[in-house]
Amino acid sequence: MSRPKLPSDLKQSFRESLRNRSDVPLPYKVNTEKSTRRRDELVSDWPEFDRVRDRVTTRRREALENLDALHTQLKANWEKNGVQLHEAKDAEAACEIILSILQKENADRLLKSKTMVSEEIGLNEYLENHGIQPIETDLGEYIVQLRKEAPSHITMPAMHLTRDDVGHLFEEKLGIPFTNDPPELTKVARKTLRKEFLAAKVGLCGVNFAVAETGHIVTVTNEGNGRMVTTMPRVVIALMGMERVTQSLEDVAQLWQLLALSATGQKATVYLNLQHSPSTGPAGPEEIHVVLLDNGRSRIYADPELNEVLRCIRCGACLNVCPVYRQVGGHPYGGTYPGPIGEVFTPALLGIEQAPDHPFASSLCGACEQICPVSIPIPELLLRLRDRKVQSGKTGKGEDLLWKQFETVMMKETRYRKASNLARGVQRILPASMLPVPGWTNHRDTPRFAGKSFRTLWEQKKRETDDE
Amino acid sequence: MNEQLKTLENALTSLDAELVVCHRDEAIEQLLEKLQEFDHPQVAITDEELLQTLCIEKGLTEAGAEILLFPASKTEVEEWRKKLSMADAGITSAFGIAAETGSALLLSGSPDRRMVSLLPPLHCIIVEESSVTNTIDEMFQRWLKSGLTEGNAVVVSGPSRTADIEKELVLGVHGPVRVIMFVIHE
Repeated sequence: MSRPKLPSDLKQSFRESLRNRSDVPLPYKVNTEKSTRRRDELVSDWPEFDRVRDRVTTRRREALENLDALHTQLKANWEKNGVQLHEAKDAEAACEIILSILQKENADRLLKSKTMVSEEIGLNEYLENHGIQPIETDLGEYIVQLRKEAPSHITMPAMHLTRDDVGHLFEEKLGIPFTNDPPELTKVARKTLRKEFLAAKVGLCGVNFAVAETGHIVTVTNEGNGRMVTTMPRVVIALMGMERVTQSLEDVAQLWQLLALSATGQKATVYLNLQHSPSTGPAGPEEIHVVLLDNGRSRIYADPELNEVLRCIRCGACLNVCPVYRQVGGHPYGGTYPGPIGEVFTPALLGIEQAPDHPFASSLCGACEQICPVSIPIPELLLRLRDRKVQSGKTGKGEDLLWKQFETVMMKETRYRKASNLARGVQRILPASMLPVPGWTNHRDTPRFAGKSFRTLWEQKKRETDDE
Repeated sequence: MNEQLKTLENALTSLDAELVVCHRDEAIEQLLEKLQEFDHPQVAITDEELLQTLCIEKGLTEAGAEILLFPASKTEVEEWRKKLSMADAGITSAFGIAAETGSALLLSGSPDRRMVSLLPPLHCIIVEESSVTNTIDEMFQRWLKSGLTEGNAVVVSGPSRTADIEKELVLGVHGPVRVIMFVIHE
């Protein structure tokens, strides 16, 4: 697996993804629809849904407004509970901290449950370069790791693959006879990874929420691998983005239910894992380390135009409903976070100059905002980022000129009238195919002006009425 | 069965989990019935109060089960973990159960009991009926008021599952394949 890289040309990257498609409906298209359908059914049976969403949104907003105070409270609780805190300002710092914990334990491998933050910091590649084998234990992550790929979705990492793809992969990499039966394939993964869990010295989990009031480190999982990596090894590392702090356990209960609903269409996930303190008895982890990652988040936090994106709980629902994501899948976006949330989060994290086209990879249809469990106004944030790109002067000369001329024409009535009459005249002489607009007209007809302008029609009508 | 338990039963059915409602005196018999597919079942139990009150250890031993008790010291842990991973079932109690979602809140306590509910393929959860609430929110409210929030905990809703391959549901990934809740009805 490689450090998340951004495509140098996002449009080209999307185009390639479309070109490579077969006639068969692609798994990600089918899979996103399945997830959304189950979610919609549950929502329609849940009369209080809107109220719960509003309340959770408000609580997330308040948590971020009070982030400093909550951090202070959380850190005090961690200290009291015997949890060791490591603050990492960037990806390198986080990787170094994790490596040093592993080296202290003489561990040659790291058992990981699903964490997008570890993708963000390029942890797997870093550890491999330092002679430590990272082992993904979420089935989807295990599959994409065997393929040396990045996850294509925030909550469904292998959703771009068919059962045959997985069957062939296991045949090749694990040396088992080919089967495309998901229960059989799952059994193979269970057996292989169970041995690893029993022998593991160090485990690493992601963090969905950390509870300021009690210090609980909360991980949401269905497979149980999140429980394994936080229960079996002597040492546990929890890797979390600094924005994932929540006020109380009550808030966790509600956030969790909305997360389950939005991510997979469940009322509750199978497991809600709440780590509090190292074990004092004979079994269970003796050390818990938290790596609290900034990596650009405090910059977003200080940016009033974009900081609403930090409310995100990474459910992936906006990916499932996005007409762009449904067509191209997750990989062409590059970076760590695909889909609508990635179109905002990637340029917000790295700066607009690093991902100038991400905010434009959207039709602004608004489906993402509508489904978001914490009501992030994604289209609005995309517009702010688009504006930022324009203000940075990174747009093409032709585009600048075009808008300048448009402004000139639109600002004065006589100019507008002359220009639209001219356009009508040209249109009468030349067929539409002779008037291509690059990019726009490849798949569309050139829009045509009406034969007569509204103003002309209005005046005509008025004259007729007056005559009567 | 009252409304709440019916709700719980429906929730558990939809999660591919099972519900047994029984009287205090029938608990061991009901457990044995669920364990009968194993010849000499190896069963891990925790040190929780309810399990002691119900004399689970004694009852199951008399019926020929091998009971795996919690390790007393660090030197026994390796052996215990190995045996636990081979065991047929793990039996725990729970702080509470939320009927609407079929979720059980397990407090790991000290020593750490979490492995008992995690490693064996069958997880049996025994609670008294008074521990059942309607919703997750209510269950959390009770937990917050109990003064028992200082510790590791896990909420379990049915057997471990995945849908990572073509969204097809598969039960029993890393955690238990089968979950049975026993509610002791007075």
